Amino acid sequence: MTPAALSALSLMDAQGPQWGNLASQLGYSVGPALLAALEVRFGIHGLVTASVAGLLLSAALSWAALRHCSPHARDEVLPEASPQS
Amino acid sequence: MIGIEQDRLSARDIAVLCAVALVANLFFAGQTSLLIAYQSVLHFSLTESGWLATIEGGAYAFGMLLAALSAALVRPNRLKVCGLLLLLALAQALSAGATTLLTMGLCRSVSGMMAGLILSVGTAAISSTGNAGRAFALYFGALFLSGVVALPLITYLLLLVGLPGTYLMYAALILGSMAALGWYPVHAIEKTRNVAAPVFHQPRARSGRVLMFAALFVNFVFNGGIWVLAEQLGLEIPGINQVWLSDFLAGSMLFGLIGTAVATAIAPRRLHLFSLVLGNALLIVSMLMLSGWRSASGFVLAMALLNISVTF
Repeated sequence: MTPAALSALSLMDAQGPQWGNLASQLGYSVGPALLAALEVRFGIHGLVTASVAGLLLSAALSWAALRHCSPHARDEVLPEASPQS
Repeated sequence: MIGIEQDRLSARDIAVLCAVALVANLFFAGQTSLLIAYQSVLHFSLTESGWLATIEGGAYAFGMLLAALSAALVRPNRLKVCGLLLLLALAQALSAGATTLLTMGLCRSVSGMMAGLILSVGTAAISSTGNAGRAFALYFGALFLSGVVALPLITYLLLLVGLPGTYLMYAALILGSMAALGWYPVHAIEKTRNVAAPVFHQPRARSGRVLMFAALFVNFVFNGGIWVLAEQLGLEIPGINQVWLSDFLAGSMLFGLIGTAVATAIAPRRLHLFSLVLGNALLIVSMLMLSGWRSASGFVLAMALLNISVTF
């Protein structure tokens, strides 16, 4: 989901993608320790249940974030333009 | 249509951004192999080696934090990228001679911070352009590929030239990548800097940004966590052995290229909501397969889906 999230953030604010990179990196740092603890405490099924809940939360947050932008920017169809050097 | 004039990155611009980011992130992505070398060559303990990885990761995140706080710091400029690459190469050359935990820690923290800043300059070069979606898809596909390249490359170099030689070879590769700096895209930023107004209404955009950061953070907690635990989860499945598992997990990262290809293809349509929901949905299916389909084939499909969803 990174490219789509950063692309959406770049439409909100020029610095948005930089904060997005940081959020991804922080999540990637926290994740292994958190999930290892969940696996030890609740086993594979507990780990998967927590992961599914977390990812549903992530999808809901993405949806809510995009509700804060204009409809045409949310799902916009742009004509292909030839790249220029 | 976006109501602002925006320049677009050419295929060559995107290729140069991807190449520089791939080289700058190569050894950060291949830390697993280096951790073993720290113990066998430099006789650091597992805890000390872990600290080195943590310090490098922390410095990488600190570079990203500086980039987020200061737009001027990462505004694309060839001289700036040249300086960052020189410092990155110097950190590798000094790492080759480092023998104590303190000196190695200092060298790796400089390396991590430079890698984070170089990634951020590339992000800044992409973010204000008209085809940011496609460029981001390819940029993060290249970063993902750095993991695929780094692990076998570092393992091979360690066997061939040892740890100091590996760092010196990496320093040479970084210096070699500077040959592409003449094509590093800065023109797009210069043309759009004063005209790129945000598409979103500012007050609403602020809360939108916070929600999107939270979405990215939560997504990476789980996709990163599952990836790190993948080897352990695989070994719990009957019929899967350690050697096959290591080879498969390294190869499975190539599935990320499928995610990159799809993301690149649909990026011009800017179907952000579709992409974000589908990315999370693929990860959920992958998780459910890990727990509900406890066989080698289920594990293979789950890991393939996980890697596709990360780059999608």
